[in-house]
Amino acid sequence: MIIRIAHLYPDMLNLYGDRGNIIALSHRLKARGIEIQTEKITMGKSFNSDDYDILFIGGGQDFEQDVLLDDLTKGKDAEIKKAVQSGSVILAICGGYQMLGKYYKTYDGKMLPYIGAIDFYTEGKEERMIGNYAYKTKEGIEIVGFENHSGRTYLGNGVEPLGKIISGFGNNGEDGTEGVRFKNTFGTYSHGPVLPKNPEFTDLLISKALENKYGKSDLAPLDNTLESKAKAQVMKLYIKK
Amino acid sequence: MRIFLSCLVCRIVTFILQKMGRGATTLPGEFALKVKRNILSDLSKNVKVIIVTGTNGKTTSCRIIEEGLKTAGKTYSINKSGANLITGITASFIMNSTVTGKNKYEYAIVECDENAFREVSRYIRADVVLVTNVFRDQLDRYGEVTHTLNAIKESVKNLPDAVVCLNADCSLTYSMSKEIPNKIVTYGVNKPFEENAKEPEVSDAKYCIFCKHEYKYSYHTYSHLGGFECENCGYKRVSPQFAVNAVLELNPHSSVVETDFCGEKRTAKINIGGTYNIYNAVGCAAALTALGLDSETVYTALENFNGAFGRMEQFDCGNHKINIILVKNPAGFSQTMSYIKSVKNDYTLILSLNDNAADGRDVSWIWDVDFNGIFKNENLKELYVTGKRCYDMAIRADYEGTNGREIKIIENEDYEKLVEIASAQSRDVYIVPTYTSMMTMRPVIAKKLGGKEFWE
Repeated sequence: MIIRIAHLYPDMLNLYGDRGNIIALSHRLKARGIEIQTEKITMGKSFNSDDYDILFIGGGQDFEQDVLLDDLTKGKDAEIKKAVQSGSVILAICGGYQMLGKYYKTYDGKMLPYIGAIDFYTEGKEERMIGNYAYKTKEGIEIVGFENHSGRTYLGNGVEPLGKIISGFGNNGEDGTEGVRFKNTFGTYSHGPVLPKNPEFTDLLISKALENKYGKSDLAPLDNTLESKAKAQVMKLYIKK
Repeated sequence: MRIFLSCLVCRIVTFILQKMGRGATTLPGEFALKVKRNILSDLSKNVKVIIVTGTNGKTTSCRIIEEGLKTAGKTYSINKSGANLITGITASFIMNSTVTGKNKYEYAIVECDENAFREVSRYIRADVVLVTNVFRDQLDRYGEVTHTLNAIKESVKNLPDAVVCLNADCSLTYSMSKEIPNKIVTYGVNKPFEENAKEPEVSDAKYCIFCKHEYKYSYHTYSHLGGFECENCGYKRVSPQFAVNAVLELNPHSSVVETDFCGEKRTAKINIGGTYNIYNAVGCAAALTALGLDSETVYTALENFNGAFGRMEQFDCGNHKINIILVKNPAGFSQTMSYIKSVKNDYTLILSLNDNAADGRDVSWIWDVDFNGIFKNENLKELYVTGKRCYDMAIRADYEGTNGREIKIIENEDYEKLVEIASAQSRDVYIVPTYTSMMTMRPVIAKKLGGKEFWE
C-alpha cells in the first residue's frame, strides 16, 4: 500500500513547525508498513489533486500572503476545490485553513478573496487569540494544540465545525466552535504541531485516506505512550475542563 | 535633580533586593524610569556606547567586545545576564555611574533585545551598533520576522550618528542598509563552512524582502545566510569589508580561519567552537574596529575571550565536562545540533524544553529544527529529555528516529536529578536548554560544581 501526500507551499506556509504534521503522518504510516510519498507543491508548480491521497496546507506569515494568493488563482484553487468536493483527505492549518473559506477581511477593512471551497469567512481583529487550547471532535477525540491567530472565523449555516472547544478560543472566541469539517477536509487553528500529540486524529486522517483508496482501513494499534504523556502534560498544565 | 533621584531610587531597590538574596535585573530599572523616563539620555552622554542587537549571538558578541576593550586597556561597563530590556539597561547604566549620573567608565557595552531597542534608541546615544542577524524567533511574542527587522531598522534611524555593523550574508539584516542614514560597515563569510552546504529545509527568508521573488544563492553557510541574489530587482549580497575567506580548522572549542579585514589578510584563531560563532567573531572584529581599536587588539580578543554564561559554558567534573548551550530558536538549535554532531568523542545529550514566556509559549518551533540525524549519531551514547514540555521533546526525537536508542525522561523539571546524572557520567555531557530552563538549572549546576550566580 502507498499513500501519496501533497504538501502545498512548504516553503511559504511553514510557520510554527507545521511540517511536523507531515513527519507525524509519515511516522505512523511507516510504522504500519505503508509506503509514503511526499511531494512539495511549491509556487509556480501545477498539480493534479487526483494524484494525491492527502493534501496538507500549513500556516504562513502575512509578508508572503499576496504572492501566494496570486499563485493560487493560477489553477491551484480549482484543484483544491475539486479535492474538497471529491472527499479527498485534506488537513489545513491556521492560514491554510482560512484560505479554504470565502474571504479574509483584515481589521483595517482590506478584503482578501480566498478560494471559497467551503462556506465560511474570516475577519481580523487587532487582538490576537493566543494560547494552548483543546477541543473535542464528534468521534469524541480530544485534541490539544496551540492557537495564535487574529482572524475570527465564522462558519456558514449548516457547516460543521471540526470540534467543540473544551478550553481556549477556537474559531472566533464566541460560539464555542473550532475548525471546520466538510467531507474529509479538516481545517483547524491548531499548531503544536497538531498531529504528533494527537495520534487518534492522525490515525483518523490515515484511515480516511486508506478507505478512499483501498475501500477499507485496518490500522494496527501503535504504542502511544509518549504521545499520550505529551498530551496529558499540556492538559494538566493549561486546559481547564 | 531628577537624575539624582532616579539613580538613587534604582540603587535603593537594588540594595533591598540583594539583601533579600534576590537577583535584581528588572525592578530597579523600572523604578528609575518612573522617576525619569529619559534617564538613559543623561547617562549615555559621557561614555562611548556600543549596542549589540539581533536574534542570535548577542551575548557571545558582547563577551568578545568586552575582551577587546579589556585587551586595549580600556575601562567599560556591560549589562550582564540577559538583562537586555530597557529596565535592565537603565539599571546597569545607573549602577555604573556616579551619584550625579556621570559614567565611571570609558565605554558601555549594551546588549539590547531587538524589540526593546525601539524604546532604548529613543533616549540612548550610541557610537556603534552591531546587528548580528535576524531569524524567526518566538513568534507568539514578536509576530513576524519582518516585524523584528523593522524594529531594529527604526531604532537605528533614531541613532543616525552611530556606525552600524551589518551582517552582509543575512538578506534580512543587510536590507536595512538601503534605508538608514548611518555609516555602514559590513561583515560576513565568503565561503560555505562545508563543501556543497545545502539549502536549509526551513528558511526564514526565501523570498526577496523588496520584491518577493525567490533568491538565488551562490552558496549557503547556514539557515538563510549566504550568497543571496534577487535576479528580479538586483538586491544582492555585497562583498563584506570584514570577511572570513576560509575556515581552516573547526575544533570543538575553537576555530581557525583565514580573515580579510579591509584588505589585510591573516590567520586568526577564534576561541569558541561552532560555525555560527565565526559570524559573531567577524561581526565583533568590525565593531571593535569601528570603536577605534587596532587589528592586533582585535585578533588578541578573538583568540582569548571566554564563552558567555550558558553559551557553550563548561563545568569541569574531573574526568569529563558538562557543556551548556542555550537555544532560543530553530536556527540556533539547528546550529547547536550540527556542532555537537561534529564532536569526535562519545557524549551524553540532554535536551530541555520549557514553554514560559521567555522560551516562547508555543513549543512547535522544535519541529522546524534540523536535527540532522543526531539521534542516530554513533558518538551519542545516552539521550535524555527534560523541562516543562519534556514529552513534546521526546516525541520530536522519537519521530526524527533514534535507531532504537532509548529516550530517557527526567520528569518534573527535576534539575537536582539532572545534575546527578550529568556529573555521574564518564563521558562529556551536552545540556541544551531553552532560556528559562537554563536560568533554573544553572544555579543548581553551579552550586554543585562551582560557578557564579547569574546576577553577580
